Amino acid sequence: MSDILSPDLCGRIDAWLERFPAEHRRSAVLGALREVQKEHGHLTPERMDAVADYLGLPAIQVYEVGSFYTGFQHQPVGRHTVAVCTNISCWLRGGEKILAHIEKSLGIRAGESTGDGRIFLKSEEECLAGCCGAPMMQVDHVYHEDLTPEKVDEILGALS
Amino acid sequence: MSDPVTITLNGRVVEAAAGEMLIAVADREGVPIPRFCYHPKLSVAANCRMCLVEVSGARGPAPACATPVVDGMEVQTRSEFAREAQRATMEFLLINHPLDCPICDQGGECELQDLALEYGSDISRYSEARRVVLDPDLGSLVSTDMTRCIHCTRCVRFTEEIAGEQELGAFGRGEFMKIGTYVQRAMNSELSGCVIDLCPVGALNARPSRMNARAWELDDHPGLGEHDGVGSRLSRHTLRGRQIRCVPLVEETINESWLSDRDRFSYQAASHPDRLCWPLARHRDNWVRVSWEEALDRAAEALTKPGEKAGLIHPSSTVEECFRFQQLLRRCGARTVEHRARMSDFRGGVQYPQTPTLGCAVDRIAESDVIVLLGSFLRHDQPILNHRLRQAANSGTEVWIINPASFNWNFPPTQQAVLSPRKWLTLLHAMERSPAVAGREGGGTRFSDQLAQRLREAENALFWLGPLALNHPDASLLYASARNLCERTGTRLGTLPEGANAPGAWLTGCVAHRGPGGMAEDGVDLSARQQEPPDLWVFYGVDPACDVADPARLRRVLAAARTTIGFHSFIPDPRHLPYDLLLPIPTVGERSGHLINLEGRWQSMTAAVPPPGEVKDGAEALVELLRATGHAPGFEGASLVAHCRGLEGRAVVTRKPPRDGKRLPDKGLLRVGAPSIYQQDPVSRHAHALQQAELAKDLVLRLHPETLRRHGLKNATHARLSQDGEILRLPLVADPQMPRDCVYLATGDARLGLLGNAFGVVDLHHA
Repeated sequence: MSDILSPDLCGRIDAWLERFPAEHRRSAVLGALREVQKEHGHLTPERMDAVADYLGLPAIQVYEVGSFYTGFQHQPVGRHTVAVCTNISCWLRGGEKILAHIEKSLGIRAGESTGDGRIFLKSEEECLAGCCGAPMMQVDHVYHEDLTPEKVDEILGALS
Repeated sequence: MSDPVTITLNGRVVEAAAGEMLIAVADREGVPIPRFCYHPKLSVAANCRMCLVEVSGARGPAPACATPVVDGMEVQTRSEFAREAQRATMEFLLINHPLDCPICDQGGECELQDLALEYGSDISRYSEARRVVLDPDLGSLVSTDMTRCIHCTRCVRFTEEIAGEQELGAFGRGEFMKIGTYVQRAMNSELSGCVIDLCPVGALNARPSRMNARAWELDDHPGLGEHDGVGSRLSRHTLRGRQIRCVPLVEETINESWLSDRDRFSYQAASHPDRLCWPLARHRDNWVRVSWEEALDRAAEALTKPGEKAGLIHPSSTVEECFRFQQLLRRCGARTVEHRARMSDFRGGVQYPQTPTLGCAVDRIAESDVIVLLGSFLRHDQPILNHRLRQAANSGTEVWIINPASFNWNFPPTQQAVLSPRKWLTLLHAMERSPAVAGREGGGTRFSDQLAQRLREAENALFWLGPLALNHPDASLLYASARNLCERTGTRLGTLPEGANAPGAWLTGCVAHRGPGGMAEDGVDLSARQQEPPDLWVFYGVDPACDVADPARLRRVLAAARTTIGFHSFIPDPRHLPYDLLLPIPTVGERSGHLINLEGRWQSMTAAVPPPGEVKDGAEALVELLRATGHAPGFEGASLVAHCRGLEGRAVVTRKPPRDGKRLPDKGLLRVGAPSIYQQDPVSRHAHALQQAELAKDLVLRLHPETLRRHGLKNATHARLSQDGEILRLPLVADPQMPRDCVYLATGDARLGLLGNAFGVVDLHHA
C-alpha cells in the first residue's frame, strides 16, 4: 500500500481527517480521494482500497463515493484538466463556441485527452457559478472568465 | 415510547407516538401505503418515493416512511392528490423496468408487479432508449438481473446494517446508478440469501432455484432450520413432491425475518446424486439392493447376537429418532449410545445439566451486560445467534471473546483474546482466583482479572462455551471451572453444542452415562471404546469420516467390529468405512418430528415432501427394528412426545468434578479447529450451491509467521501436514494473530480424508 499512499499523501489525508470529529473518519473520503487523484492522476480500485484501508472503512463505501462524482477519473487522463461551462449564461455568451474552438485547436473531442498527455478536456460541465464572467472555463481548479478564442489559445498554450 | 399524539388517518382518528414514522402507524392501523424501499428492520432511505401521501398543510406530497407524526396531523393516503403522486412515481419506476415478468422468478410474488397493477398505466408514454445493466456475479447463492433493479437499496442497507459487512453498494448516479460490488467478488455473508427476500423486484433471486418453478405453482410447508440450535422457522416451497426453495417465516422471538444460508439452501442435498434410496447390503465387495424385510432381518440378527455394541446418532436427529435409537440399542445390550461424536473428553459425565441450554432466550440476549464466548466462531456455528450477539454488541452489551484464532467477526468485540487451547484452563483458573472473585481488594490488570471483575460487576452476565470448548480434550475440566466461576460471579452459563436437537438427544438419553430423562446409566463412553472395540456399530446420520473427533482412530476401532450398520441419507465414501448394511433415512424437508432448540423450546415439523425411493421415516424404521429384535416399542402415536416431555427436569446432576488431570499434550505443534460453516453435517456437505459458495472454499493451514519460520516455511505457499501417519498437502496462510504453538485447520471436511484428532499434535514439512 505504501507505494500508493506516500508519507506526504498520508499527511494531506490526515489534514482532511482533522476537519471532522475523530469518530467520523468516513467524512474524509471525498478529500482523501481528491488528494489521491491529485497525486496519481486518476483512481483505480487499488488506490481506492488503499484509501479504505487508511480510513478504516469497507472498500465498497469508497467505491460508492469515487463512482458518484464526475470529478473523479477512473481512466488515465491528461495532466491538466480543462472544463468549459456550457450552461445557460455561458451558452448565451458563446460558451459552446469556446468549446468548439478548443476541440478544433487541440484536435480532440470533449471527454478526451491530447495525445501528448498534456490536456484533458472534460466531457461536459454544468454551471460552475462564474456567470458574471461568462463565458468561462476552469483549468486545474483556476477560473478563467470573459473568454475569447485568442485568450483561450494563450491560456492553453501556457500549459506545460 | 415518547409522548402519545393523535393524528387523523383517512378521516379516522388514531393514536401514535410522537416521532413515529407515518408508514409505521399506517401499517399498525391496517391502512395500506405502497412502498419499495421501506423495511421495518432497516434504516429509512426514502429513495423510492412510492409511499407519497397527502399531509394537510404540507406544500407537496410527503413520503410516509420519512415523515414523523405530529399531534393533529391530517393524512390522506387515498385522496386524488396522493394517488396522483403515487401513480407518477410508478410511471418513473417503470421507465427502465423490463417487461420480462413472464420469465422472471419473482413474477407472481413481485411487489412491483402487484403495485403496478394498481398504480401503473396501461400504456407507457416513454419511447426513448431504456437502460440495460450488466449483471454482477454474486456467487452460487444469489442470482442477479440488474436491469430489473429499481434502486430501493434494501439489499445495500441489509449488508451494512444486518449482515454487518457492507458487500453491496450503489455506484454511479442518476441514470447510471447501479447496485453491485464494483469489483468482481462473490457475496461472503452467512446471511446473504436474505437479500433475495428483501428485493422487491426480480433483480436478486435465489440462484439454485432459478427458473425452476413459478411462484403460484408452489405449495408451502412450514418447517424448521435443521442445522443449528436456534431452530429458525421457515417455509419449504415444493412443486410436485420436489423441494424448490426455502424462505424464512417471521418469528420475532427466534429468527425475526432472517434465515441463514445454510438453512435456506441445504434442501438441495435432498436431490443429491448420492442419495441412499433403498437398503443396501454388502455382498463380498459389492453393494446389493435388498428389500426392507431382508434388511431388517439382517440388522435384527446382528443386533441380537451377543457382544459389545455401540451406537452414534447425529445431534440434528429428531426427539423421536433419538428416543427410538437409544431404546433399540439399549434393549439390545449396547453400553455406548452417544450423540456427541466430535467430543473427546467424556469425564464428569454427570456434572452437566439435563439438557444443554443457552442460559437465555434468543430474543433476550441483548439484555445481558456482558457476554463471554469461549471457543466458537459463532458466525459459522449458529449464524442467527451471531446476528443476535451482534445486535447486543451494537446496543451496548460487552462481548468478550476467547478463541484459538482471530475470526472475522461482523462486529467489534469489546475484547478478544486469541489464546492457545493449552492456556484456556489456566485462564479460567486465573479468573477463579482473581481478586474480584476471591473477594480481595485490588483490580489487577491482566485480561483474566479484568474479565472476572466485569462478570462480578455485571448484573446480567452470560458465559457461553462453544463447540471448541466442548470438544476440547479437557472439556470436562473447562466446564467444571467455568461453572464454578459462573456461580461465584452470578453469571449464567450456557453451552453451544452442534446440531439442531442436542437438547433432545440429551433428554432422550443418547449419552453414554445418561439414560432417558438424564438418569445415570452404566455406560461406556466413546473414548473408552478405543481399548474395548465393540463388535457391532450403528451409525445414524453421523459420517464416521467427517463428523467425529478422530476419524483415523475410529477407523482403526471399526476395523475390529464384526458388523457395521449405517442409517444414512447419502451413500458414504466406501474407502472410509466397510458398512455391512445401509438403511436409508430421510433428509431435510422430508422429516417429521420434534426438535428442541437451545432455549429448550419444543418445535414440531412435518415432512414437506415424501422421501425418494424406499426411504422410510427413521423413527418408524427403528420401531420396526425393535419389533424384529423381539422388543415391544411402546409409546404408540403421540404418547412418545408426551413421555419425553414428562422426562424434563428429572435429571440428577452431581457436582463432582472430574478427577484426573489435563490430557491435552503440552509439547508440539497443536492442531486446532472446528468445522467451517458448510462442513458441519452430512446435509450441508451434500448441498451443491453451499459447497460452491465463497465460504466453503478455503481449506488452509493458518499459522503465526514465526511458527512458519521455525518450520523453515517462511516463503512457502503450501506445506505437508502429517498426523498419525496421514499426510496432507494444504495451502498456508500466515496470520500474525495465531498463537505460536498452534495451527488452525477447519475440520469436518471430506478433503481432509482420515486425518486424526482435531486437537492433536501434528508435524509440518515442505510441500
